[in-house]
Amino acid sequence: MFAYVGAFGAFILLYLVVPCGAQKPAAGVAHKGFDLAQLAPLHDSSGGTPAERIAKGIAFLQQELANPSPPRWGVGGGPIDSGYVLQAIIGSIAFPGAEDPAALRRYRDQAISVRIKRLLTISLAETGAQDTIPDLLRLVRSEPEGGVRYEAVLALSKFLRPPADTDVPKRLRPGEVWAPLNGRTVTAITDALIASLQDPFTRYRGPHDNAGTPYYPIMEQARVSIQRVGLVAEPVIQNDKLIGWNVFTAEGQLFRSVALKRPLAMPTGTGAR
Amino acid sequence: MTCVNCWNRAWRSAGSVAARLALLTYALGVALPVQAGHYGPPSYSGGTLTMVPCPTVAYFMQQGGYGAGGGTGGANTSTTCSGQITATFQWIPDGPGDNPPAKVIVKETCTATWSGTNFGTPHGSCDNGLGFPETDGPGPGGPPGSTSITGTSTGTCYTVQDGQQTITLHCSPSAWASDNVVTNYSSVLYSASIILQGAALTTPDPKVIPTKNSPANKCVYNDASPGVLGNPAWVITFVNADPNNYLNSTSFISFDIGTSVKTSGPKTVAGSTITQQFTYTGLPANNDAFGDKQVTGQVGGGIAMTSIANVQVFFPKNATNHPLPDLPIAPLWYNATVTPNWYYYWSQTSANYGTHYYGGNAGGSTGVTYFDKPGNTGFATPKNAWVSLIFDQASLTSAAGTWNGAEGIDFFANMCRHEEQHRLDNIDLWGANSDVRPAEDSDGDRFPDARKPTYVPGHPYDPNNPATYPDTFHYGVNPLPDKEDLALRRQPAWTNGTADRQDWARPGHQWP
Repeated sequence: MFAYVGAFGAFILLYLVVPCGAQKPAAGVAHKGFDLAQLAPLHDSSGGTPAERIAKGIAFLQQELANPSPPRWGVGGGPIDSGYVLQAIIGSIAFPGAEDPAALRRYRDQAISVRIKRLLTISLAETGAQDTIPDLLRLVRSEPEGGVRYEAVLALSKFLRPPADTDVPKRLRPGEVWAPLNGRTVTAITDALIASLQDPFTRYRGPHDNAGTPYYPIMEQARVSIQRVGLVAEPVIQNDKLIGWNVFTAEGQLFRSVALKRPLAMPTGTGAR
Repeated sequence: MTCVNCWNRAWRSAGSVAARLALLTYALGVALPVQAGHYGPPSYSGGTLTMVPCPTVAYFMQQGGYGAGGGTGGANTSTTCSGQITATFQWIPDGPGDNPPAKVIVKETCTATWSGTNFGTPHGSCDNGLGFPETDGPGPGGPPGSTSITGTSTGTCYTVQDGQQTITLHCSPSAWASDNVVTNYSSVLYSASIILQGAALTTPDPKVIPTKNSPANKCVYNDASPGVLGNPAWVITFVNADPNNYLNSTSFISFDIGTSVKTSGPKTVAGSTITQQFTYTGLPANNDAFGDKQVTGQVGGGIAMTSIANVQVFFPKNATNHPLPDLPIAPLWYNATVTPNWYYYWSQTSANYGTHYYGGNAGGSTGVTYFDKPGNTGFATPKNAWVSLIFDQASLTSAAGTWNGAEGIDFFANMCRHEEQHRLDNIDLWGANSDVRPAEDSDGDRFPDARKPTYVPGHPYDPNNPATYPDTFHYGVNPLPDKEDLALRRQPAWTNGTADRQDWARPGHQWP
């Protein structure tokens, strides 16, 4: 190596021995919210064994409960808040849970936190565990986080259709036999879904906090799911507001009417799709 | 009007011969710019040349000015000229009562240079601290297979300042070259002087380099149709000289903006200045026509001043006054009438991608891909094809969510890529000229049942569920609709910030 220093032409050779280097100081980082990309490895074997992925998912749940994410907004809608994050984690744990339901059940049963135990019950339900239905019936009415209630409604709805070999995640393992639900259980699920037609849990479409574009995912899921038991829910609208639902049988007879506690704006708008 | 008593007081207080001569010429009505006293030569300080691995050298006086230059060679070496140079001038009176003039012209000249020779692209840059951009050319050469580049930022800047007992100037030129395996070289040379009679370009300010968060030396067209560029009135200020005597020898050279029509008004004298107004009417057709521009002010007739200032020209983002506002659009349902400037000009940048149309304001929607056919609310003449629309909200932001909080032109870039992925997916899944066939789509998500389990290897979708996976993209809908999961995981990548230098929208990434 060589070096020279000069006044525009002067040329001095210097021999050099001093290495150099610089480090950036670590900057304090505010909590920006849970990074949902961390959940992708839970969905397939790239993230480890099923038991390892379940444990990782439970660690994410504990992390989110201890340090709730602040609301953010995505291109498709929002808010991406703590309830949303919990819902995504629960749904993700169901993937390794379906591969090793015994491991998921063990983690659920051994959980000390009642909150964690309930969240894992929803994951377990999504693997097809029918014994979770009584817990789901309670959770869809009592869970405080709308996103988690929504996931419970989704899980409950899945019980109304038989497992298929194309289910993702799988709800039936090789060698297992699916037992159809009895009439009382179907009635209880139907009642819970009709009650969910009154759930005002609101989300918004589009990239901004735009109150002009609300939608009601629990109501919508309940409306779709009760079709599986032969019922049709029709919205009751007054002054351009949604005020309730009339539920009809397949023959067109009024089966039940439910009223919302307060009128809601009609769902509108879409995000990127 | 001067009374006798005032004259006597002034005569007594004007102690020196030169001062009394000046007073006398004033009294006789002869406008000679006589100044009793002058500024001494400058003293310089500050600035270092750092070479790795080598001792640091302080700048020093040399022929032509103040600075230093040096080079190194070999792996892991570098040379850097940096730090603020301070030049100090002291007023030297010819006699008692000779005070500094009210105004002076400061002339600063600086050259910053770097060169590098490397096997690969040489690394380095320079900035003379006076607003002159770097220009690159061939370097000193090197061994076969190496590349050699020299970059230079050089120029002279004139400014008007208050005359004071002590005048202090600061300039922070810089140059560096590093990690070039064969040679690294950098240098800085600065000089300054005070001129008691002269002129300087004062608007736009030659010492300003337009920066993101400052409005200085920036111009934007108004929202009118045709748009008119606001405020390009350039000014030269004279010191101890009557501008009327220099009107004919003063000139401004103002930039061109593509197809925008430039007109210039007359040069006018007001006080100690000469001003000329330039008007640009009609926005240019090409995005490349906006951006970095230069204004040159020149004065002859014994003053011999040439000064160059850098300005930037922008378009109003949400106005609709670009020259071709009637690009193909989706009428009626999407409520689109004319394309806004952001859509027209960003579509000419690297942020653009795929085939899309402007869809107007669709509430909270940013974009959509649908099959345009007779009976649909879409184009007046149905295209019988999959069509992607970009809506107004695609020019805003995804906040802290999708695509790392992409905003403005970055959000547009991601949306174009996202909708194009939808369009290509739909063509592959249903055919270029075929809409969704509901009989093949039992869950109603526009993803045929038979393709869902195997379409993405190792990532099966559930044919009975329109949203198989939880949101892992910060999309904002959970579970994530399968068609969104499909597009988000396969759409072409975009690095936020890549197109910043092509974004001439106001507000935009170069002028929030």
